[in-house]
Amino acid sequence: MRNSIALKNAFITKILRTGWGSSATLAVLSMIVSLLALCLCSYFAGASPLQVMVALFEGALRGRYALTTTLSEWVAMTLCGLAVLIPYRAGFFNVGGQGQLEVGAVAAAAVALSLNAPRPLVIMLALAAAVAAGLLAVSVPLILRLRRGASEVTTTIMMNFACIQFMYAMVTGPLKDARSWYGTTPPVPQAYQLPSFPPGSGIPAGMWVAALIALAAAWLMNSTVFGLYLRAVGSNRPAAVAAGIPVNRVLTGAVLMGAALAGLAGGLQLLGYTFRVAEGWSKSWGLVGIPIALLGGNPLGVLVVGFLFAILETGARSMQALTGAPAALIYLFQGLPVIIYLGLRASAWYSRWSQAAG
Amino acid sequence: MNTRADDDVRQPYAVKMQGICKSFGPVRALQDVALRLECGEIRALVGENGAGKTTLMNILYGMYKPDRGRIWVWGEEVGRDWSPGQAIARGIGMIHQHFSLIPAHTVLENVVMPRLTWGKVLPRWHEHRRALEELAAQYGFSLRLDSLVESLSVGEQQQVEILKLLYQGARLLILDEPTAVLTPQQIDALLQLLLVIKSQGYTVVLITHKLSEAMAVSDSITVLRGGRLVATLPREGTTAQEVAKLMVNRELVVSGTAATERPQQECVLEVRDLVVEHENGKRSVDGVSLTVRAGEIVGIAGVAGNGQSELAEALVGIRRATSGSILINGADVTDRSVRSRKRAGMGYICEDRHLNGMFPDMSVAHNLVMEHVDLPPFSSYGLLRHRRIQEAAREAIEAYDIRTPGPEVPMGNLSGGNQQKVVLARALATKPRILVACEPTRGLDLAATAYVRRKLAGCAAEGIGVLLISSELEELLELSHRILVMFRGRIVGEVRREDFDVERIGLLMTGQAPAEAGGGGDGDAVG
Repeated sequence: MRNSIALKNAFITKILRTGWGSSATLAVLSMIVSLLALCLCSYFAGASPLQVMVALFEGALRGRYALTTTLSEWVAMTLCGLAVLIPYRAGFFNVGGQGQLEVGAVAAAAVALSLNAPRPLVIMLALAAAVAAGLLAVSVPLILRLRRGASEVTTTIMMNFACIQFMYAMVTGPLKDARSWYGTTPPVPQAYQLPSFPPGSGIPAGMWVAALIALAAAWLMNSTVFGLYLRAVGSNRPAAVAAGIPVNRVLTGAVLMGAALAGLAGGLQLLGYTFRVAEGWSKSWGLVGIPIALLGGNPLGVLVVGFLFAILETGARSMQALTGAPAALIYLFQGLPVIIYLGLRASAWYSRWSQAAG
Repeated sequence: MNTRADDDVRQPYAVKMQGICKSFGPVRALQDVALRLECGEIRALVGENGAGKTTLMNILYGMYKPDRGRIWVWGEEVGRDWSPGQAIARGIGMIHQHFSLIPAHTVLENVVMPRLTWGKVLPRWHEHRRALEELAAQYGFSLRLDSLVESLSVGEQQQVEILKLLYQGARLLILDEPTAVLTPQQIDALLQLLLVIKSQGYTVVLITHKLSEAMAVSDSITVLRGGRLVATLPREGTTAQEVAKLMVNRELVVSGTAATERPQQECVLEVRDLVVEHENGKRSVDGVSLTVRAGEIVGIAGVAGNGQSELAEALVGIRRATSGSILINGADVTDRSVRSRKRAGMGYICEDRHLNGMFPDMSVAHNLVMEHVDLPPFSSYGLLRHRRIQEAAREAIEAYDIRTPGPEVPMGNLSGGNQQKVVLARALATKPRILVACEPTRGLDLAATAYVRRKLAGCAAEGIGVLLISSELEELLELSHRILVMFRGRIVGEVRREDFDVERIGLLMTGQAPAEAGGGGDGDAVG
């Protein structure tokens, strides 16, 4: 027993020494292991693993409609991943992405459905409203954290419930489509929907926005004083205080940025993908943002992992249709790699720690 | 199975420990310690921080396993599976510095709880209450059994802890620094209580670094120093001076080629009547005044926990001062932020670099520039200038001989000594006028320690004022022009280099102020 633990530690230490212990390697490793687990599960569900993989990726990438859907999913996955990642790097675990996204979409819908103005103006205003709503949704947890030291994990989770109930109240009340028998807003008029770019290509304009934002976030993290401070606050907050870094300002900036992106994701999905806010309109983008951020590790990583998650989300349906493997297996993939990744990283830390101590 | 110690059959003893060794990693906390406690005595266990007092008692109580050594309790040797549970069953009780009471429960519930077992669904509270009332009356406890513990004063909570041990049937009570949190009146009450307990035939071990308490109640005094047992003396016929001399290392000599430069007249740090209060109203810094001149190293001596850390944090701006003022170079910075004080010329080496001195997963280069990265040449318009940062990092790595594969390596990968060099390089990179250095050599090996000390002396030679807070007397003697001694948040004495006297400093540190001490300390304010 002891021997095997020592052996395992030696193995991990070796990996660490050769530079293979970086977060990126562990993330890729855990995703590969998870895909293998997916294959295994589909085998037990009576489908051929090879066929399942083929159906999954074909269903997500083959054909214009599938590709458009995947890219649209990618928009939300990337932005929600960044909404978790940026505050997380400053030491604030924003679990409230889902709620921020929902109220963002409601705010965008309210603007797009009530204004009558040129298309670019309406779209800009709707997205601005989405951002503002996201900021509003995070303000309560943020203030509680800064003033009272309340754990943001608890408060942002609770805010999710409040935000989702607010969304229900809006779509069954003031914003309800009078012709509909269930709670939904009217569709956003075609004139105010986000076009694809280049026109007619089927590539959602939101994808370019999300990609640009991810690149900007990478630049912010690596090349600005603010980004350096942000990582310092997340790395060791007391040390940041002692170094004279304005910790609360940095934290506030990071959290507001994250929430703004989650709100923006809601607005973009409304204007470019779903066109309505309704009961159960949204996938759990805001929550999936958490594994995407943890596995991605940095803004560019979020872009990559977000794409993989988008493929799985879109491909799940054709996988079920073509092979009979239940689509719910995909949700296994949303959780499993994170657990494997955290496990690997913890043991890597442990071996480093025990090395340092011994 | 249990062997009787043959030479002790005639004389009863409470505890005998032989050849106890204990290491924590590379630190040898206890080396070959032998201790014998007689039945019915009060034994004071004294020594500086890190002398091994608490470790020794934790071993007796079963919290730690000794690496080597044997223990006999009431004449029987204990097994390898010695644990707190067994210790309690054999009548040993220990009160740690931090109480283990449940604040929302009553005194009765707290005291009875350890005796309850899972099988007892309905405890017989009335029987417990009657027994406890008897016990409390016997020892003169003034506790109401139905009070909630959270409503009690710290002194009363301590009485609850003692009552709990007595009710568990402890015959040997170990108290770890019991007076650290008490007011003088509460201390007197506690010491009286210990005498009463002793008169009933109990054995008491009092871990303390305050000699006045040890002298007041104990029957004998055991002195530990650096993990070794130095001596056990009967209290009768021993003076506090003698014990203090044993506590501090007599080998220490005022060597110091280090602090030869004469300090200049210019005053770089001035502190007036500084008070730092905790939320609970306890004053950790209680009216401290001091000055540091350019090129002067002022040492702050004292047993840890007498307000030194809080003083440093208040100076740097991490902790708010309740009252008083702080002047850097004559400019009042009392209400200014950490950053603003750094700009005004404050440098800081924190007490625990892992806690608040470094960003372990960030690169050495970023760690080196963190405090002034927002200034040119490291950034312009909020954008980092990576090349300048790398250049500066390479220079610092060269100048301070930091052993690292490169500036991009995460700081957490360096050895402790090299990490401390990074911390030092960062603090000095901003060209401070005053450097507040807290325990700058703690946990470093000999070479790194020597390096840091040389560097501090070099700072003074360049005209930087240094406030050196250290629990290593040797370090203070080597480097300081003057040493101020802190005790209970006050400066109780000042010793100049020409009359450094280990014995006197030791007495001041343990609260045994000699007659002429009052005049020396410029912070010994009245009230």
